[in-house]
Amino acid sequence: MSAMTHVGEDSPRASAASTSTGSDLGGKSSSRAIRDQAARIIMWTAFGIAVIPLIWILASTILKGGHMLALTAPDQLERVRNALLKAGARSVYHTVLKQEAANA
Amino acid sequence: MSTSITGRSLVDDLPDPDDHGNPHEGDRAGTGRWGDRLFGGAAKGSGIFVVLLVSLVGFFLVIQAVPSLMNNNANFLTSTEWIPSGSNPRFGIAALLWATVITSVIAMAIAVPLGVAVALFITEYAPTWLSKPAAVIIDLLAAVPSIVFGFWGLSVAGQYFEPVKAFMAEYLGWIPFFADAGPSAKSTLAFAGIILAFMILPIITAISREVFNQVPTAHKEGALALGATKWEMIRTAVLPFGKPGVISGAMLGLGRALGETLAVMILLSALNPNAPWSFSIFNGGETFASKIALNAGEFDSPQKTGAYIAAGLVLFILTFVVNSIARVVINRRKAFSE
Repeated sequence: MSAMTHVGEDSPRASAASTSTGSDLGGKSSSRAIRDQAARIIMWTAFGIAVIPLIWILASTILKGGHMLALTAPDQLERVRNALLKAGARSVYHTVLKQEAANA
Repeated sequence: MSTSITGRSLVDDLPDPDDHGNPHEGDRAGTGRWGDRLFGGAAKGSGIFVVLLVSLVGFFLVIQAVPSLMNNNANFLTSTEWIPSGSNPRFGIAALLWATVITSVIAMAIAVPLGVAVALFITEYAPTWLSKPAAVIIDLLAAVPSIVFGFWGLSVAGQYFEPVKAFMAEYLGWIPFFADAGPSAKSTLAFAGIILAFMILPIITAISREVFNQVPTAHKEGALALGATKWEMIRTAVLPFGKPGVISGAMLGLGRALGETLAVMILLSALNPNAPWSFSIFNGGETFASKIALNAGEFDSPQKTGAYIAAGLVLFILTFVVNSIARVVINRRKAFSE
């Protein structure tokens, strides 16, 4: 009955015909209503599926890389400098040389 | 509701009230004024320039490819070998053609129905407050660079395709097309096709949406007045009218899928030259574009360069043929939808 009501929303004439001519046409209208409802669900689902990658890409980009944006360039330079000082080196070049010597 | 509405109404047959019997001057009529002549010349010149440019690209590809093809000791169309240098160059495009076509076919199989459904959702089903934001959201997908798609597929989404691949390989693996050929799920032709599908989806959706918006309201209301449900109205009035547009959008999407380079290059794992080649979509491989891009640094001899240019020539012809077929299909459908 709910399906019939739905067809009626889109096409009052079809609904009126089906109710006045008995169960045979009523059955056809019911299948038409089901198809109509299925199409509606498919269209909404398609939109949902199409949006998934965009949201997923945005979310993964923000979650995996967003924290890097919180650091400003001077902050990062400070981090590198502190790391170098901690390593006991005066420059990146010295650090690399020390690392190579350690590896050798 | 089996009879389709073709787009022609009785109003079209009525005499034009503004037509007072004067002979029509035709579309090519000009006023002879300076501005008209300048615009006509510029339009004609632009058209000739584009045709000339495409012809020159084709001519360049043929000229560069022919010497290498003459030295090739393998069948260029059927061989899966790729050894373009040395004293015995042997190279063929069979594997490249297969990878290019199958990734594009998978992408089209997913993106065309999905794109049309999304376009129908936006034009027919979405509430007014949602239809414009929905269109913007889908268009945003086109703004995502292909490198991001490739990287996202490889590092984030690919792992979720592993169970799908395992399931299909277990239950359908007896079909060579679905056999597990070894590479991880994210490096297979099937997954590259899925990522390509999302890349071409906004193109198909945008063009289909524009065409569906052009469907005369009288056709839609006529169908509804005859007792059609919304889906029947779409099937009989909207889809027949929009068919050429959907085909155009699909062909544009196919053009992008065939030529997509970066995302495919990042995703697909190249096959070992000695590995046996298979028809499986769960195999690795290289498309024309990814092969050329990946080996661009090796163009150190005319023979080797010519081999890659010959592969590029095949891609050029493939795209040209696909677009020509689309044009023919659209022209055939035009009379039906006008």
